[in-house]
Amino acid sequence: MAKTTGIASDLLDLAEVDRLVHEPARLMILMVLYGVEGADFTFLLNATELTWGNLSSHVTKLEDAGYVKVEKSFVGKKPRTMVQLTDTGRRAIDSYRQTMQGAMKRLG
Amino acid sequence: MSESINLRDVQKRTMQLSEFADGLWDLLIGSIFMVLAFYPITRELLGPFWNLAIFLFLLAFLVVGHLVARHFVSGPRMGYVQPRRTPQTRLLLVVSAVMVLLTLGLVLWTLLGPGGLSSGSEPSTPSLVRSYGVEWMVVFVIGVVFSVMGYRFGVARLFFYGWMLGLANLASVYMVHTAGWTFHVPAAIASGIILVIGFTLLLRFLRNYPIRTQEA
Repeated sequence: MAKTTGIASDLLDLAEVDRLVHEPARLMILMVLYGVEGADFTFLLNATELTWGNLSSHVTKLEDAGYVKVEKSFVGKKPRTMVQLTDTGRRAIDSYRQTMQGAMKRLG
Repeated sequence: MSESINLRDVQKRTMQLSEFADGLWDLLIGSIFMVLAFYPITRELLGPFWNLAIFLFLLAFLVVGHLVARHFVSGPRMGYVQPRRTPQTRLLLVVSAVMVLLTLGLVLWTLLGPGGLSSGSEPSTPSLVRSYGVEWMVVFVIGVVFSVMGYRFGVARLFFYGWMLGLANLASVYMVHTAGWTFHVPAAIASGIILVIGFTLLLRFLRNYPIRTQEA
């Protein structure tokens, strides 16, 4: 990338932001999972107010990136899908927060 | 993006949603204190030993009922959350459990022997503040325990519950000593208010969160 000056150079960090985390729906999912050990799909649906399909697609993307771990099990006869944040996912959120906080501070 | 990202707030909202949206905690707290409000009446009928035995049985029944309701009513609607176990949360859990037991112990202490353990036994007590040491301690302990939980979980009504229950307990013991009331009316009213709030929350929860049949 060419060397930039002025306003653009101050906000160069934003170009390096993790776009997988930056997407609002995925950010919501990751934020909910950040504070807990794990949550099932039903809870994530209620907490994020996404649809089944939407949530499923975002969780799959996060799983492919190694940010979350998905475990399917049965409780009695009912299936339960538990989603957990991995260490990689936790580091990604921390890094994302630092980048955004730095950029926001510079914006004032 | 204009709002700052506050992970602690997200964590609190997650706890509110997973633990307090269904009103079951309110129903448990209200039920326990309602049983305690009836404690002096049943003690006169049953005697101290059987009364305590029945109280402990009822306490166990309420706790088991709460767990069953959470599993069968709340769980399928709200979903399941595994709380994060850090050394800090473990310590908080232990401290909370000790404080809750201490609170129950103190309340029982004041109810078991109104007059026996507190210096407020004399009906002609001139000063409320100086004479009801144990009861004021109960007010303070319940108030602080509920306030800490309210702050920790971001549930404002717990502040109200704590101070209301503590003061209601004090008022109940005061009425026993001054007016000779056997039934702890203020404590029963306070518990009733909590039960009404709990039922309202539960009904709203059942309406807002139907059981989801589809699984990912």
